[in-house]
Amino acid sequence: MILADTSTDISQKAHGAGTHGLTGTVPVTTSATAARQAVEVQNLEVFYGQHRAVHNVNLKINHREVTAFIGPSGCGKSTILRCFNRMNDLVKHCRVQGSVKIHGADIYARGTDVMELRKRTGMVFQKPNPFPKSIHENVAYPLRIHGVRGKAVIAEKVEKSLRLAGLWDEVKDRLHASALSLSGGQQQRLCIARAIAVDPDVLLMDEPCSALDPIATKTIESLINELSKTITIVVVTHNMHQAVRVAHQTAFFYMGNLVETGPTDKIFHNPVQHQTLAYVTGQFG
Amino acid sequence: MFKAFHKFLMVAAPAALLAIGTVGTSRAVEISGAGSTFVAPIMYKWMKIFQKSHPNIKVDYEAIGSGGGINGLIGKTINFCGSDAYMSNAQIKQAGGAVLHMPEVAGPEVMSYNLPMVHKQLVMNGKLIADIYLGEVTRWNDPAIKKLNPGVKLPDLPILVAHRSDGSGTTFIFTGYLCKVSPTWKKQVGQSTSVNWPVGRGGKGNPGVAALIEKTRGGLGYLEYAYAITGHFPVARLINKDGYAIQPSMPSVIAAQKAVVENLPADLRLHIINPSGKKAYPISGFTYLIIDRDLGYMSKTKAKATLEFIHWILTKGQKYAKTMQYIRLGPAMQKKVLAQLAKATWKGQHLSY
Amino acid sequence: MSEPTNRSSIASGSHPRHRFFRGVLDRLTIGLSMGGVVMMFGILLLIFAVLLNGAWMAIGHIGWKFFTTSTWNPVPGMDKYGVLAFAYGTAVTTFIALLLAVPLSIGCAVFITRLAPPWLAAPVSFLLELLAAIPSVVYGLWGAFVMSPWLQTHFEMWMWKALRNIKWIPVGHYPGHRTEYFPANLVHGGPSGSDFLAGGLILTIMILPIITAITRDVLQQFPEELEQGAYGLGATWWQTTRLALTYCRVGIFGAAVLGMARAIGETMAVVMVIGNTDRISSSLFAGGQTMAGVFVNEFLEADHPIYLSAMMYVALTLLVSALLTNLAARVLLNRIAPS
Repeated sequence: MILADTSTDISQKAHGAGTHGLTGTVPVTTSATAARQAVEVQNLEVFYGQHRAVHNVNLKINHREVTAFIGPSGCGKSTILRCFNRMNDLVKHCRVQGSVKIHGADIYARGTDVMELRKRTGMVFQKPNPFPKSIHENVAYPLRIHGVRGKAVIAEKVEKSLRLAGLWDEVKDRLHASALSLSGGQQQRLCIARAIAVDPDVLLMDEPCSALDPIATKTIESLINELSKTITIVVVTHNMHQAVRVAHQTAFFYMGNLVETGPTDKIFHNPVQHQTLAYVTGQFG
Repeated sequence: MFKAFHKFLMVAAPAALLAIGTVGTSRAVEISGAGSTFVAPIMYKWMKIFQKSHPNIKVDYEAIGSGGGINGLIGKTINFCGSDAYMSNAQIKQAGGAVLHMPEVAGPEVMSYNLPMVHKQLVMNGKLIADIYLGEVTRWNDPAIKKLNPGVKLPDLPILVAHRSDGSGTTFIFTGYLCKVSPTWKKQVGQSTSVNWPVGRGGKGNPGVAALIEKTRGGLGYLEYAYAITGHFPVARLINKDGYAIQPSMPSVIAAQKAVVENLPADLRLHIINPSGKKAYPISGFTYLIIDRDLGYMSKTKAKATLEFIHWILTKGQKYAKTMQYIRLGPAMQKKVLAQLAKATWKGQHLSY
Repeated sequence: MSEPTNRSSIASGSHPRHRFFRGVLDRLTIGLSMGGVVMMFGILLLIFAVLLNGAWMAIGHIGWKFFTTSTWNPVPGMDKYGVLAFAYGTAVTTFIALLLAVPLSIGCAVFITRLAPPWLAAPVSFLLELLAAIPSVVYGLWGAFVMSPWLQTHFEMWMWKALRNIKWIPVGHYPGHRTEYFPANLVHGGPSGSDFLAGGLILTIMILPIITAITRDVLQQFPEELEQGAYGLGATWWQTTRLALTYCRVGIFGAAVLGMARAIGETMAVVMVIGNTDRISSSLFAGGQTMAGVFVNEFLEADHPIYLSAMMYVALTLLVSALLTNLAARVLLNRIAPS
């Protein structure tokens, strides 16, 4: 069954949000297992035109843990990540089947407020992408577009986010300097601050360190550890050592299939599938 | 330095134009003229026909405006000039003191109007036209217009006055006429290729003026005869000096020429403005061919070719005027003009052509 | 063949002859571009010098009064020349054109780059470039015979009926002591179709393609990462578009400046519809004239020295004011450009 394709009107407001849509409040979850799962993926298939990029993926992502998606280039890990906040809606000829539930609500259900969804599932990209505005305005931007008003309220939120992102001490004296004057690592932390400014439940990170030097990478990794106390984090990474360092759970993808998922320790040291073993031991990738 | 640069421009630019024209006809004599855009259509036709009977002479004409033509003559960059306005004394002095003006065709000017509700042709006189252009008569049902058009039901509409916005010989003739019929006009506005119009809006060229007239009920403006006739614009009959209402036409303009021919100034510098005569149309001008009286600044062959071309226009060329909606020279006028041409010399020597 | 002693050729890893040619090419390219720059300045300077030289007589005779009077009377012997009305006409028509063209162009560019499907965007883009290639005299004739009559009988008639009796703010007096009120004064005199409004509108149509085309190109430079970043934060299409417009503001401003330059310098099209009078009026329905317009109207027949010199003075004024506006635009640009 086709649940969504690119023709979905992304500006659609929530209709009947009470049952399916995200309404901005913490969803009511009933079972204990559901409470531990932030994201639940069932029979997920993604097509680019005729090409099937993701094959029947079933996956659960635990609440307030870090989950790493690993696998060689083109394995579909980024594509799956981008289903979690429906960024694939923006890709022409991209079609998604199956269901993705975040805190129990099917985000591909009709009437889902996509803007609200994206607010609650923040995203950090491969290349730091601060807006050509001041540091302060970058973090204030999501607040403003989601209707937060009042100088003091915004200033307070900006400070809180920058502190959480570990950037406050470095930039507090030049909040009105251009964000582009920051170093690459600082820019990426600014992007994280920007993403968490509106208190998302889930933070999606698409190879967040691939453009950074080792020291900046280390800073971001410890930030991920810190943030996972309050936010569920999914991080796509090319770097297996990074997965080992930051992730509680790891999922290994290959050619659009989810090969294996489990605790990071197990995936790297005692995988069930020989493909996983071959990958984590560096035999291909 | 600027003088030198000026000289360079004046010499080099036309030289370059000439050079383009020389390709492929190395043995032919080339002469070039420039000036009036009004005369350009018939000039191109003359050039084409003349070329057939005179394959050894190649004529080039640039329609850059009468003023430009006169400047070309002053700068000696062309062999002849076409101009709707005759040269002023100051310009003649600049050009070396002796030039010959040869009227080639006449161009009447007509008053065209836009009153679709009026089916009878309107009659106007000079005083009325001047008053309208002075802004003293502003509505179509003004008593002054009514008086000239008894029995015509005139609408209560404002007169939208149109005039030429570009400097032109047409305006020069028209304002000359207004000066002649209205002392107030002469004192307040005067005669020139562009004037400071008391009222109205300007349109560029005949099409611009025609557009202004056409657009609004109540529009009124002056147009060149040829343009108005080809475009089938309604035109007014004008009351001439002797009190007759005259339709603009070839016979009435030739009649006007006849009226002035006896009292022509020796240098032929005149417009046929408000002549007497039962059939004479009051506003027409000549468009002129102007050359230096002595053509010593060009080669002898060029001088000969120039005179030959002008002579041909004034004689054989005249019959092409009618189809192009220009008015040819009357026989008496033609004789005077040919006598003028005969005065031309080359380094003091009369040439045969 | 190769000489082991030629260390530099070994170091640069190329044959000495290649190196020689490369050096010549470098020098040639540098020389050409330097020459181009020098020539550009030279031409500008030369134009300025020629105009100043031509206008010298008028500057001596008329002086500053040229800028404070609006009578233009070229009749020999009367000779009164003031550029004020023409400068006013240039300013008003350019202002109207920018006021209308800039938002419209931005809308068009956003439509082409961010809204229209490719099968529609391509032909619209093509059409736009076609519009930019139409000679201005064609716009002028169309303006005089199509736009202006329509304007007079429809749009201006409607505007006149709507505004003629609205008298909010007294702004001055008409001759004859009647008080002039805003906004009724904007339609004073009634619809004519050959007026400042028509001049402004024809300019709007003429500068629309160039502003749109540049804005489109600039918007296409909006980085994909920023677009994704904004959407990823939950921005709507409109919020993302606003971000893109803010990001591209320098380029869009530049497009508007180019449009303005074209509007200031436009001749034929304006002359065909503006009514060509030397009057200053607050009414949009009044006839006027621009500096470029008076030049194209009268230059060819300017038949006596002071008249010709006054025309040169107009051209000089036009050149200097165009340079000054561009300079002002540059200063403004630096102010809005991201540091």
